[in-house]
Amino acid sequence: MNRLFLKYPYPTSAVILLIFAWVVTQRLARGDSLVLLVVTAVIVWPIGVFVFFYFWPQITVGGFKRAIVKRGLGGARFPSTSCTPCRIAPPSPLRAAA
Amino acid sequence: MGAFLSWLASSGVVQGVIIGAALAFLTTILILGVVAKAETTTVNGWSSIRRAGQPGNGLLVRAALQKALPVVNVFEEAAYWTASVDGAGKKLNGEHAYRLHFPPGHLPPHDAFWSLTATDTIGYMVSNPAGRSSVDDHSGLVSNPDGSVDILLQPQAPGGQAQNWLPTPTGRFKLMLRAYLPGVDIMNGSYDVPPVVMVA
Repeated sequence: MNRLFLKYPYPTSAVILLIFAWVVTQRLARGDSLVLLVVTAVIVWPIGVFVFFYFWPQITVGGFKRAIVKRGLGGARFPSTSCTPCRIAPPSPLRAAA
Repeated sequence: MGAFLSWLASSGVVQGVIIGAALAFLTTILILGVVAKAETTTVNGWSSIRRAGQPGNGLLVRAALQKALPVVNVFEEAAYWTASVDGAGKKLNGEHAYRLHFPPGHLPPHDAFWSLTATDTIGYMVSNPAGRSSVDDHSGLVSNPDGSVDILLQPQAPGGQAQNWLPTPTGRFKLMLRAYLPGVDIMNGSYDVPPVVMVA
């Protein structure tokens, strides 16, 4: 999913927004109220942005740690001060990052 | 309890949380991209971010630079340049062959080592017949008679100077040049990476 979003950010975003639009139209078609949905989304949205800002480094480092533990460092040469010479991706390779 | 959960499921609150969180993620990506772009310097098609990894960057810049250059060292430890376009501003593509020409004495100055890596546009290495995705100062690069060094960037092996060949993915790709313990010229900003030139 992450790779899909990284490679096709705009189409992926468009699909997500279309799904949300479909959910809303379905609720409207059933005659359900949208008030709680909208209020909740409006509250969660800015809080979520802040949370993502705050935790983005930890999320990224966590992803690298999982990849390195699972797949190793790929035999690449790297200095001891560099924690991530590469990021690994299927089928064999590494993602060059640091 | 059951009645409450049933109401919660049908009230739209759960959907609101999901939609709010997803919109937050998309907004975050958008904002971090804009901030990272503002922090990026591009010369000859090579982009670099000097502030990456610096303590005191602040919440927003820290996150943005972590997205642009994940888990990097501070600039004093390692300098990073990325290029997804050639010197003419055209996107790098494995359909073409490129040359990176370092004039004599113009390889990245360093006190450790440098390396040049070819990846797909996301940053993942792609398998290739040569079994390597990078060249570095220990790759046995062959210098030209005048002391300059040409690195050939193309998917297929070149006719000669295979030591100087960096296999590239067949589709669009990007390059990452790294210099560990960068030299004075990099630190003071006087060093520019030469442009990648399309040759075929």
